[in-house]
Amino acid sequence: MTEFARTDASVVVVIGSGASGAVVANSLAQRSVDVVCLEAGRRLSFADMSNNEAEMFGKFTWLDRRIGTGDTLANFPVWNCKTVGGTTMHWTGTSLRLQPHEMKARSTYGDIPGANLADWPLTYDELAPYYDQAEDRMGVTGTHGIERLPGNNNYKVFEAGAKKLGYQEINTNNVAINSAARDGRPGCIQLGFCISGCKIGAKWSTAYTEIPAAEATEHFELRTECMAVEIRHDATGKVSGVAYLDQDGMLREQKARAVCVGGNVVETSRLLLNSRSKKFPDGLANSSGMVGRNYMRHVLAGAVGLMPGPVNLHRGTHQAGVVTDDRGNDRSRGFVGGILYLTVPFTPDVFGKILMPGAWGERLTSVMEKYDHLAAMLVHGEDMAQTSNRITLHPSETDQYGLPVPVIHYDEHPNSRKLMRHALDRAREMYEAVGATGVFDMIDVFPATHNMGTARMGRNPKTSVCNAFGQTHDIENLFVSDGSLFPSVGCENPTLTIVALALRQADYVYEQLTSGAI
Amino acid sequence: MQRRRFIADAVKLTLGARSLALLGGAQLPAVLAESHAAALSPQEMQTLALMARALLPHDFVTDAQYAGVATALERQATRDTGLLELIRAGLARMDALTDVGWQSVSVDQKLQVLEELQDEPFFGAILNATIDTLYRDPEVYRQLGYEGSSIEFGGYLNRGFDDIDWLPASDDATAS
Repeated sequence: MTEFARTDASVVVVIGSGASGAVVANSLAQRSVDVVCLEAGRRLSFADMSNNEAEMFGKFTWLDRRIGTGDTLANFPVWNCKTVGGTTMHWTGTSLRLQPHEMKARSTYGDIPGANLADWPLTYDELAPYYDQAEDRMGVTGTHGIERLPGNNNYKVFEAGAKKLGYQEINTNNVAINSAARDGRPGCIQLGFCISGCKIGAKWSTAYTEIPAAEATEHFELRTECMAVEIRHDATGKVSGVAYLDQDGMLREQKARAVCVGGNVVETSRLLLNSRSKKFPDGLANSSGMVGRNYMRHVLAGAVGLMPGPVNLHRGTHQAGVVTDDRGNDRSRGFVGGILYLTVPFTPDVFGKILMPGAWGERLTSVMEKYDHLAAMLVHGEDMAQTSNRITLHPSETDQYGLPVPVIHYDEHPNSRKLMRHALDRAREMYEAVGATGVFDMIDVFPATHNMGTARMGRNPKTSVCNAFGQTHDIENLFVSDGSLFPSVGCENPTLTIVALALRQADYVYEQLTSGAI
Repeated sequence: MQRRRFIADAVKLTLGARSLALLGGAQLPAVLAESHAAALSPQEMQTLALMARALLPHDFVTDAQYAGVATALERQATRDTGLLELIRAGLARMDALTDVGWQSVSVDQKLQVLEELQDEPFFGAILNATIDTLYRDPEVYRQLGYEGSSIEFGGYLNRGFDDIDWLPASDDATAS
């Protein structure tokens, strides 16, 4: 294993080993740039993974204290992972591109009261080559000649219902899950545990793709259970190293030539805000005051149909199908932004808590005894950026690292509830069209799995944190690599776009390093 | 024909009737009397076991499995004094809403008391623990139709992931 000295100031330090961090790190290491990657979580092997959602939840979820305020879950506002591979361990693999108009939210939607909309500082066409690279790298079905997965029962109900309603863009989704062996990983065998770490590795996760590939270059060192606590800078204001708590809780510092932060929004914001100094009293890269602001998620709700026959929705991939007809912007619907419908399964213990929150007795058990007759989907829509939705540091509460607990404040924009209501009505009609005897809406029960927007890219340093490459406006050798960069979120799941941006950032960082600019 | 039968099944609401009837005369399962950790009294443990039955009444769930909810809650509460206090105070309120103690009143009265307290934090904590304990138990979830771990059987690729046979025929049989 390659090891670098902590005093080696020539390395690039990448914080986080998930979709953004591992991709940036591997891309640089492949070009012989030395990289040290700090990962707060442990490394799990395939042997550590089980087909048990509750057990895997306990093994790799980020369970350190977070406080939610506003329209979010108070004790568990955000659901992401703390392990090598980050949230690519529990993601479902959905890999849809943003639509060109979604990258111009301000121009497309105009002035929406209460929202702080912005256009991306890069166009879809500039990102497209990186989408191509990302899809190929991740093995996304339905792209680059890769066959789509076969549809499971939950998909077939969904497809039949959608067709009855006249929908036409219905398929088994673009997923980074192998439909046949590819890139040293096997084809999907429909285990039904996508969110528990795919035990056979058919689903793309950086834990067993990007990370080992980077390690093979001998230009990469992964330090697990190392929690970054502060990014430090020199007298000129350039970042010079990262302080972290190692596996034994010892405070260390890794010197760095450049730093890329990929902590999945909450941790990225916390680290930047916590890196305060005389020169940067409000935290690093925060001269705009925008670090932590414009926090976005996706509009997310569920619809569950009690069907006339067995579905066994737990069999097979989670986001096994998608309807994309409604993903355009159509103001006649009474809201802006698009909608995806995506299938999803839940285990009995989860349904028991969220199908009819608070229900008990025969009201609940009469439905639960029909578990095998349930079909389910998520409705997934665009969220509006709002300046007041933000991640801050709690003034007094600290966690086991001694770091201020992050506070995630989220108020739902009125557009979101209109979009959700429209989408749930359509979902209900889909299930009723194929004989559902009951349809349940699941609203306000989900933590955010998609987190974006808190270090937004833009051209103006007064209103944004990073440029179009994720380079912070304030500090030329400090980069943000994750979903924090999104000025708007579209209605598509974010990971593919995060990977595309990370690939683009790696090209830029490499060029900056080799030209001596940083 | 088959479809009509399924619809009849779906509206049938006699589930759990036998289970609820057992709320009337349940005895303290031996497992509770002998092996609990003593954070809660035997009386409190029995109330929790009966309450678990009221919260998730399934005919196929046994006394021992309901007692397992009490044991699991006690284990949690042993590590979490806040939870312990919440449970004890909650159970005391259940008793206080009856003249002779919650365990001793009729099934209807038991359910009335629970309805009255269903928005209280202790009730939610016990409901969640009941759901987690029972619905994560393979013996229980298999009865619901969930099949658990599939890796040892090679997943569902050749075991019915697409075996649905009751969907109405579509004019257009192929997905785009």
